[in-house]
Formats: sequence, structure tokens, C-alpha cells
Amino acid sequence: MNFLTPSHSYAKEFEQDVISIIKKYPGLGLRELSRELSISAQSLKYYTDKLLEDGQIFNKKDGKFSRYFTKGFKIDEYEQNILSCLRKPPLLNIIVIFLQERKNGIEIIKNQEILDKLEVQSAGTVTYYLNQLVQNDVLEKTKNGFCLKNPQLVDSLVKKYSPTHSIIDNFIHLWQQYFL
Amino acid sequence: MFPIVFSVVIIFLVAILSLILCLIGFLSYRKTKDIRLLSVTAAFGVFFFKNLFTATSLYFNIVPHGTLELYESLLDLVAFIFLIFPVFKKNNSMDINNQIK
Repeated sequence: MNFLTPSHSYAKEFEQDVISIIKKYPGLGLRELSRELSISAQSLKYYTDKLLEDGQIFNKKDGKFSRYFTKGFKIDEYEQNILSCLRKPPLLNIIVIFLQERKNGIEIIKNQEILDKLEVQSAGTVTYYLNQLVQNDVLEKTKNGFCLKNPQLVDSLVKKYSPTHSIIDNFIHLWQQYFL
Repeated sequence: MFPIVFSVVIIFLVAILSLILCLIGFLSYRKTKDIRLLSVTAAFGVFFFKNLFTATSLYFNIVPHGTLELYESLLDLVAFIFLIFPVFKKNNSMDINNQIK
């Protein structure tokens, strides 16, 4: 008698999908994973809890949230700090600004220049994000502004581990901003 | 005065673009299960239908111009209701922020 019900085999298949996404984008939180997998965060938590129990994935606390990695994923604490910053859209946006300016030969950027380049932020909020990036050793503060501490490493982590957003994601983001 | 065929072609292109956005909207709804996105999808669907109807009507002279304007206005109104509705509708079903602990 076959004890594998369709739902059981579907669950196993979905667990493999979860592991693939975590392997592809290590350090994603539950919310980002749920978006990548097109499933509610609540439903996804069932699978991540099961995979954590089975030891196929592990998590690291990042403030209130957990970030997921596959078993055996080796990353030092410094790279982990950078990765956790890449998983936060406001911090990622600032890092991308630094990387883009670096291509133009500009290494040091001031608060005001970042405020001008970001879409909607107050000066206080930008300072808060910049301080977070300094605390995580992504940026360092200089006399004339801020610069990336290890630009090559940050660049490689961004290229390797940042999910690219599809047209669908852009549509969702655009319209959800419009809703109250 | 340009021949009517130019208007028909442009209106038809608008219909195609509306259809593309309608399709993207539908795929977005499937991904998020956010009913508000379904409403936006419906709005683009109405725009597609309206422009297709207008292009066809102009080309084949199906409906008198005055009546066509009325139908267009009504369909615009329906589309905008679909666009306005999600602005005020709360998303209770798939609010991820409420689900993550």
C-alpha cells in the first residue's frame, strides 16, 4: 500500500523548492522567501520549521527576524553582516548607490548626496541607515563622507546573492505603494 | 485630417498594452493573493475591452459616434472604480507583516 498521499509528496517537493531558494539566496528572511516562493509567510513557516528540525537548514537571528541558510553553508561573520544588510531594501539601496558611484570613480559619498539619490527619505533616516552600515562594517566614515570598507567583497556578494526582481515583482511593488 | 485608420491603429495598440498590463496584474495577484491587485487587473481588463470595442466600432462603423462616446465613458467609469476601490480596501488576507512573528 502506498502511504505517500499526494499532499505528502507535494510537501516533500516543496521542501526541496525551499532549500533551493535558500541555497540560491542565503540569508533571506521569511518574508522575502515567501515572496520568492509565492506562498504566505505563515504557510512557509511550517516548512522552514520542519527543515530546521531536520537540520537541512539553519537560521541566524538578525534583530527580530531569522535569516535562513542551508546546512553546510559556510560564511564568516563579516560576510554574514554584509549579507544581512543586503537583505534589507533600504540598506541595499544605499549599498547599490555606493557601488554605482564607484564605477564612476567616486569612492566617498556624503549624507546629502545619498539623500538626493534615494527616493523618499528624511535626513535622519538616511543617517540611521548609514550608521547601521558602519556598525556592520560595510561602510566606514571618513572626513569627507562615507565609503565602502571592502568594495570588492560587497560587489561580489551583491552579484552572487541578490534576488533579481521580475516584471511581476515590480508591478506588485508599484501598486502596493499606491494602496493606503 | 488624418484617416480614421490611424486612430484605429493607435487605439488598438492601447488595447494590446492594456491586455499586457492585465496579464501582468493577474500573475501578480496569483503570486500575492492580494485582492486589491485583482481589482487593478480588472481595471486594465476593462481598458482592454473598451479600446478593443472602440477600435472595432470605429473601423466597422458599428455604433454611432455619440453612442460610442457614452459607452466609452461608462467603461472608463467602471475601470476607475476598479482602480479606486483598492486604495481604500484593507488587505486582511495576505498581510505578511501580521503573519511574521
